[in-house]
Amino acid sequence: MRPGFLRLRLFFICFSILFMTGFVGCATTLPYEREHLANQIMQFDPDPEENTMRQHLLNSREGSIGGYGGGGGGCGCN
Amino acid sequence: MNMTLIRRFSGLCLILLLTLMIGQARAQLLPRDQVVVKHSYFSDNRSIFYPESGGNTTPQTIISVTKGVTEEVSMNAYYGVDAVSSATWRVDGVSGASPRVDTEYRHEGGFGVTLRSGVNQIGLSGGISRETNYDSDFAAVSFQREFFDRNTTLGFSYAINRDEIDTLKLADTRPFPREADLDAFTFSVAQVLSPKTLVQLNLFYAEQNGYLAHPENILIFPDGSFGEEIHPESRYRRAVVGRLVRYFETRSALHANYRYYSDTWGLTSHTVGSDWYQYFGRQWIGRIGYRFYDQAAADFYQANPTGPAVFQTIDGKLRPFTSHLYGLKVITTAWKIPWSFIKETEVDLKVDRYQQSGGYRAFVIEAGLIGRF
Repeated sequence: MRPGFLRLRLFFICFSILFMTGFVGCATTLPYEREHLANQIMQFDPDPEENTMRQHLLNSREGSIGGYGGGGGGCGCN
Repeated sequence: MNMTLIRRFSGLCLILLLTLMIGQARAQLLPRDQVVVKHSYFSDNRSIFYPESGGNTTPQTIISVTKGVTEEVSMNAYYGVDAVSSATWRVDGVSGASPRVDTEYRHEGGFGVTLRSGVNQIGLSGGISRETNYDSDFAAVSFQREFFDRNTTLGFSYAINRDEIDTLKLADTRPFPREADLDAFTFSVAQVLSPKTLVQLNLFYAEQNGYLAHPENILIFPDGSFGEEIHPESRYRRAVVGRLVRYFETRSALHANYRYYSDTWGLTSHTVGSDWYQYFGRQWIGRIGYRFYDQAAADFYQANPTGPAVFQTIDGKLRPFTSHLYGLKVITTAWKIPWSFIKETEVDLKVDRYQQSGGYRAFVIEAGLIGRF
């Protein structure tokens, strides 16, 4: 097995553990309490086109990539 | 991509699809119907490859259109073009000079489909990027599902790039064009912690294989001889990102994020960023932001290479440095476009100041127009 796959599996295991434990103890926010969450300024990525252009700029000038977009996720309040 | 990777990816997709199929039905909203036009102007003081060189300028324009075709399907298409005044620097093997080449254009276009059903969302997208010496074809698939009364969102995406790199050097005898591949996976979980607080954790992993150097980058050794940039032909990259968004009763929001990145070339980095959004009246929003980046060098990076080595580079992206990014942005919905099919208009103006240790500085000004119909 290539080292990359071992790391991928480790990532997935860590992610699953965090996912399974992350929501424990979180109080449920009801639909009528989501007024602020639905606000434009509360989106993780309020301007996807701007984010794409900025990441393109940074990716071509720094040695690191990834983790800020394209991976789904979101607050589920749209 | 070998068969093992295909099998593992197929298995993961199957599990995710089965998960999606047992979802409860509750309507989500599709992305809004809109047309977005962004234009930016980038300027820097020098190349990150050749510190003694001059800077370049890059105007860039992107047009994106999103339109729902049914209650559950939305489609998006975009096109962008940028013109880099000196994207590629050539070192002449005889004179050692690094003259500026003419303006290089890069054209990029893509197409995407978003399908939503209940608490599930699937995204498919693809596109191409073309420039004189670099062609890239890319595609991505993403799955997203909400749990626990929509308080938790789990996402997964897979992106693939297939690139072809050519050389601009005259009478180059090296075997170009050459290929480079990227396979990237992102796992994401977002959690509503309270009516005012959201958090998100992203795990990113990518494999790159093929020609990962830059054909125009030439090393000059102390004895006056030249060497080709040589990078390893594989690179495994991973990143962990944590993000937090918090609303305040002053009609403000704080965005904070942290990223830790490492790869098999020995490069590690820490990134910390923060933005503050503030409403001014009902139709104006201001944003002020700061981002700090700290990077350790790749194992084989040498600021002053003394002679030929197995791996050698002058790539400024692989050196140790820190960077600062300061940003200001203003968004307004106060102005209207007098076209009947545009119901809402949003205009924004952004200014970014970016600087790296070692003297590299850049400036970006960007204007955007969003018309919703």
